[in-house]
Amino acid sequence: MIRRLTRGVAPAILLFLLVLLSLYLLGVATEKSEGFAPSGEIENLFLWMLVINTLGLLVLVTLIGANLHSLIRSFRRNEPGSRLNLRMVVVFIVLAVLPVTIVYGFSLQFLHRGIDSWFKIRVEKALEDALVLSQTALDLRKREWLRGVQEMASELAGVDEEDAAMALGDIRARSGASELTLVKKGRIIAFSSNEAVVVPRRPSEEVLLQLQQGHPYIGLEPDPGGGLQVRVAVTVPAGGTQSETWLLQALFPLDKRISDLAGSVQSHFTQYKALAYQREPLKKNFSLTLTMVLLLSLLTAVWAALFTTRRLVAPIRDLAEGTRAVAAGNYDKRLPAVGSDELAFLVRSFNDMTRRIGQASAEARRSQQHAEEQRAYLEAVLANLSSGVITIDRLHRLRTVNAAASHILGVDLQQYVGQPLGEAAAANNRLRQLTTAVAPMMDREVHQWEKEVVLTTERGRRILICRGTSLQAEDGGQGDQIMVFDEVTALVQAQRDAAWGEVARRLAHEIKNPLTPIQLSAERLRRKYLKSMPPDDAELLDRSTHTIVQQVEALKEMVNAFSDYARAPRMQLEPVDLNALIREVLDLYSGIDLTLRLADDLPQVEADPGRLRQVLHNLVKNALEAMETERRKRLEIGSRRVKEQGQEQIEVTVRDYGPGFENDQADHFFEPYMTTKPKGTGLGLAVVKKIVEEHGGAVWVEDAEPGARIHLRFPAASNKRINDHE
Amino acid sequence: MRYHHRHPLLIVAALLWLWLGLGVGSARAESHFLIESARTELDDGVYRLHGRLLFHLTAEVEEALHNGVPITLLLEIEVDRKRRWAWNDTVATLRQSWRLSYHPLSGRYLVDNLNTRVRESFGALSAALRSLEQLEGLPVIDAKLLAADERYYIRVRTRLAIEALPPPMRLWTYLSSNWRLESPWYTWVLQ
Repeated sequence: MIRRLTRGVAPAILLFLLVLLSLYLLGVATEKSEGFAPSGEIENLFLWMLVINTLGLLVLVTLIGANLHSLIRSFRRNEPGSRLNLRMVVVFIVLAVLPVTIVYGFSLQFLHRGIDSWFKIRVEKALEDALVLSQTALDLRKREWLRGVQEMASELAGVDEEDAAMALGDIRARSGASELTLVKKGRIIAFSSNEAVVVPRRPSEEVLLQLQQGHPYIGLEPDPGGGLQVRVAVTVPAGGTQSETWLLQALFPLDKRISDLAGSVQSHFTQYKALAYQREPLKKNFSLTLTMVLLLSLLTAVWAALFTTRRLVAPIRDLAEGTRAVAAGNYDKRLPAVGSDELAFLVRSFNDMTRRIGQASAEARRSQQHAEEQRAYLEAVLANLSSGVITIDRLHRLRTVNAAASHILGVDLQQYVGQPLGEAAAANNRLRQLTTAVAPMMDREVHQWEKEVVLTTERGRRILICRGTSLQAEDGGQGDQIMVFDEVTALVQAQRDAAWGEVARRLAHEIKNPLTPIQLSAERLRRKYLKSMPPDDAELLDRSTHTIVQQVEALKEMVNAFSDYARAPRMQLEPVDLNALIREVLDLYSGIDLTLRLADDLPQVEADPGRLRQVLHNLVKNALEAMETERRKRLEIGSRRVKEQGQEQIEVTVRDYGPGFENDQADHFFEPYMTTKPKGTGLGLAVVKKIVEEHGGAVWVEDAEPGARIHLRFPAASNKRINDHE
Repeated sequence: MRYHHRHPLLIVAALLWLWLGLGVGSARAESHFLIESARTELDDGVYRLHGRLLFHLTAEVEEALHNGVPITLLLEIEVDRKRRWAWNDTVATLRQSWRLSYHPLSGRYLVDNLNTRVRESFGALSAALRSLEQLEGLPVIDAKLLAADERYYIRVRTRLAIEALPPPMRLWTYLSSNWRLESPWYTWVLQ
């Protein structure tokens, strides 16, 4: 409310009018103060107006002070618009102060000269001369009257006190005096007046004093009626009966005409003297009024300058503030647009602009958010994809990888993002193999390609199916390349296992059936013809049939083995302590140089102990068969717990010191009838693999130089339970 | 009886005077105006004032007088009732004023009693002032107007009436110690 009161135009105009009114009254009061007679209520108007105007000055000074203070404060704080504000204020003030001050100086000078010029020396002199002339003219009359009174006194010289009153009356009638008084020792002894009722008065002290000194008294004095009279007093010459000194006092009224003229001269002279005497205070009064007017006008002008500037600069300041806000990213800033001038137009345009920028930026933000969501979605999809995805930019830098890619390649690829693929490949064996295999495809810049890549890892060969797509860049050239790859090792293995299973079943079925008739036929041949044949032939028959029966027996065994391999009996799972199982199995073998490295803290395995036993038997048997030709049969069996991808696992290794294997055989090591040994069914390791995989484990072989090391891995029972819970 | 209200301008002027820092009280110290003695006598049911006053004009005032500016001298009399818990109650205010002027034609000084309209003229300024200095039997207040059981004080002072000067002079005479002539209050118990 107060802010509105001090900011609006109406109060400013009101203040201005008040100042004008006050100045006008001050002027009137100064004019009135020239007069001399106090004239009722106006008499102190000047002083009142001085007081009121001084208060007005104080109010203005306070207003201006507050304004300047806030102006300077905002300037120091470097608020927007403050510099412009200050500059305009200074310009306005200088524009107002300079001319007014000059006018003030000239006015003051003119004023002083003007007042001085009223009181010309010539006028004063003329008036003084007129006064002296009047006095001189009166002096003549006074001397005549003195002579007359002295004559009256001589007449009274011989008169008795009793007759004095009578004589006095006669004398007064003759002389033209208005009043005669005869005094003896301060007591009035006779009195005569031309007026009926009048109280006789003794001569005054100064009259008596002069007479005592022996001089007659004669003096002009104003009479009570407003005119002038002459008082003459003399001593009555001594003589006759008079023992005491008598005094005679006479009053002569001046002619009305002379009295009026002399009075006029006197009053004008007095007035003029008084005016001249008051010249200085009058000048001071006018100067004071002028100064007051100057100060009030100046301060009003200064205040008006401050006021106007503030109003002028306010929209500019708002604009500056608004621009700052927009620069800082605040597009909600709206400025108050008042009026219809160009500044208001500018402000409205600014508001329009910020609104549009705000809309555009909100739109951009929405789009960005949308894109971000899309990206997050894509990332989530990628992360949950079982296929590995890698994108490579045109400079062969790794750009995107997903979790599956890292998992398949067995390395955290995320750390290489942004680095050239070559550097990442140098640090990782699998990646190197992969990039070496696909590099020709990428370099050939074919749009789409597909390739099967075989990686050699410590856990055997891994088969990846890679598909690549090269994206079109915005400029039409080659852009990023996307490579999607899946590990199909298990798939290929499964296909292979299935094929072998089929083979086994077929073998069992197709081969086993004719074996029994073969065996029976051979035995019948032998039984029927052995005894009736000559000994040489009999021996041949015996040997041949024996061989047939034996080989059929062997074939049967083999077919049974295949049949077992193909059949999948139901597993009886229970917690198994692998260390105990290993020791139990190894007890059955003797003549081996055995080294056991079993970990103490081995967790249990959820497994079918019978089948695990078979696994161990097969492995030991396999190792012994591999070392058949060795003199010293060295075997190392170890167990330990390992952690792979957060899963607790148990690893069992079996190492022999046999001849080992060729590198390219590692892939087919666990396939049926893959053997490097002179003896053996060739199904031992295939069964091992089958059983281990049935337990959710893994098996692989590595070249140990000399010999080979077979690794078995089983998930720990605890893992399984946790997984089940999940 | 004329009631006199203290002029508010006097207060403002006094403030201005203090503000301008003009010499304080040099006139006061010399006591140009003084009440030498004063007393009241109950005469025929009326309290009458007797006393002796002293008037000495400063050179500035005399100069103004000789330049035709009439000077008004005041005798202010106040009768106050003392109150226990409040300001004193002014029962009556009486003002006796004389106008002193110079008559250049005759070279005499005129004293006009503004209350009685009686004019007297004197050949010398000192004689004119002396004519004012003796107060004899000036009626102040009728005893009937006063309550018998109350205690009254009477106080008097003399001063030069600046407000009666020609307007152009007033502002500056308010500010000048040479013009602010007044006696201290002379107070006694009315009985």
